[in-house]
Amino acid sequence: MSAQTRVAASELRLFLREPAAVAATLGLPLLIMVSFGLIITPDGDPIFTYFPGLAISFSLAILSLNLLPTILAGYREKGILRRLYTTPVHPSKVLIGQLLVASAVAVAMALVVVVSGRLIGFPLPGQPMGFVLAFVLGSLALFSVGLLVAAIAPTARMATAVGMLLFFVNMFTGGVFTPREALPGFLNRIGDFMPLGATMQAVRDSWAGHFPQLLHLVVLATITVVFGLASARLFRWE
Amino acid sequence: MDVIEVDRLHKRYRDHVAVRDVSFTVRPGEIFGVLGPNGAGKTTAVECVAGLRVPDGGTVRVLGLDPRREHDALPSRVGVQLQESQLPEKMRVREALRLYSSFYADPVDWRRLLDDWGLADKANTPFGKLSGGQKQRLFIALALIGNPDIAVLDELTTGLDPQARRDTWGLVEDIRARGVTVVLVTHFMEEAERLCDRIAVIDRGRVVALDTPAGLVSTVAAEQRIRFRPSAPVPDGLLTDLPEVTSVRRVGPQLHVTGTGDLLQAVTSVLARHRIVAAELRVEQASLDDAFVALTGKNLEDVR
Repeated sequence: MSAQTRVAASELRLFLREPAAVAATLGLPLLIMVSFGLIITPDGDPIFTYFPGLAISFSLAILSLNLLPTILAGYREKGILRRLYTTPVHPSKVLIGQLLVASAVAVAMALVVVVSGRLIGFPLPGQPMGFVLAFVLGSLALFSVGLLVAAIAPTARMATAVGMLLFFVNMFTGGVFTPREALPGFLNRIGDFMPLGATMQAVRDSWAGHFPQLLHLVVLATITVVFGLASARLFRWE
Repeated sequence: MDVIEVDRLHKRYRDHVAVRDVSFTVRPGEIFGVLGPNGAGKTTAVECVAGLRVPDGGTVRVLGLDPRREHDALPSRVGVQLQESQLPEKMRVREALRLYSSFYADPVDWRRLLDDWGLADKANTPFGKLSGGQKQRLFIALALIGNPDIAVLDELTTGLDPQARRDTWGLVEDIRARGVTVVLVTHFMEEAERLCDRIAVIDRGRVVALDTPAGLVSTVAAEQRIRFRPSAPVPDGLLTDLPEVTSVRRVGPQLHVTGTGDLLQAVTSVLARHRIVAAELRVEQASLDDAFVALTGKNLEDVR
């Protein structure tokens, strides 16, 4: 097993030991699908796509805007990354390990949402390729935002605060707290350019059977590149 | 060959100079102490040695390598215990040792370290639940896990109770007994005196003295005092004529002699020549503490 695999396995083990993290990223999406699946009857109205969109977007937002920045900034604050710099394994292995864990959790969560949705009566994503694309690009965009927060926040506390702020702004503008259909047009326009809003809408479109809008895919790809490069450049190990 | 060579090391942060013109060498197999008050630049100096900081001036060679430019070659040969570094709260002792041992090509068996450092019954305890002493022992074990030639231990016993501190000293001696060169950063005088073969005293970013503990004590010419009851009257001038003696005072039946250098040897031999026995002999020697105060004008315990 390579050092990278061992570090990632260790990070995964640590993640699974945090009941709150597991509940928020995997338990809550399941709860959303099951409870709303029991309440509503998905029919032709595209509003039903709000629920799988909510489950996926909410979990991704927790993972990328709360957990990732807090954990990584905490590792830096506690000198864990610095300590690693004195071993033959570069601290970037921990960062990559965290991203691998977040990706694995995200994929598991998506499976939970799709499968539990199917079992409770939701249709499968109508445009599977579009769904995979929306999910992957959305995850990458949100992870790179979280990474940038971890990169520039001087303390774990600060990373948590900034992450929380981004979390609520994104949830609000992105049509996640409240369905897009019930929000004023200007908020939806802002949401189109936010990482979570674009993810939410692209997931909903693909679930309804359409290919995601080019606008949302371009927004997500741009965020991934810009924030990803910025965090790679700005990340400090100590 | 010296394992560490630091030559005119200079390091400044935005507003102040942390280390100025620091030079020292560390010999293979010794315990080398870096002693000084907090904020003296000790940690900065050893972090340059560990390759964690880039010096602004001067050169550092560790095992013949540049710690920054040839960084990749060093971690497998230099084990580091950093001041105030931690592990994830929920990582267990066993997991930490196993993970870190997987980083090295030729690691020590981590199960043996578990036993050696008294952590066997804590193997499944998460890091966050360990006591201060157990955490320190784990960090020493992690510093040694790669089978290093040099171990750098920064403020090893800070925050430990006196018993745990003494236990840790024994462990540091064990490290040296295994042939590992130890660089020990400390602000505890007793610790430096007990453990170190040689000590660099650092104050305000400079090396103000570098010697063995005994050498440091004697170079500051700190006064020694001898008290004894002579078995026969001591003629005037017999002791005061000795170059080592600075003063002689009669206190009741006793003589109090103060002086420098090899005072005891000088006094006892001249007494022996005159067949005088020194009863109730007491020697009060200057300690490293006195030397430190003389060197830096500070009392280490006060400035902490």
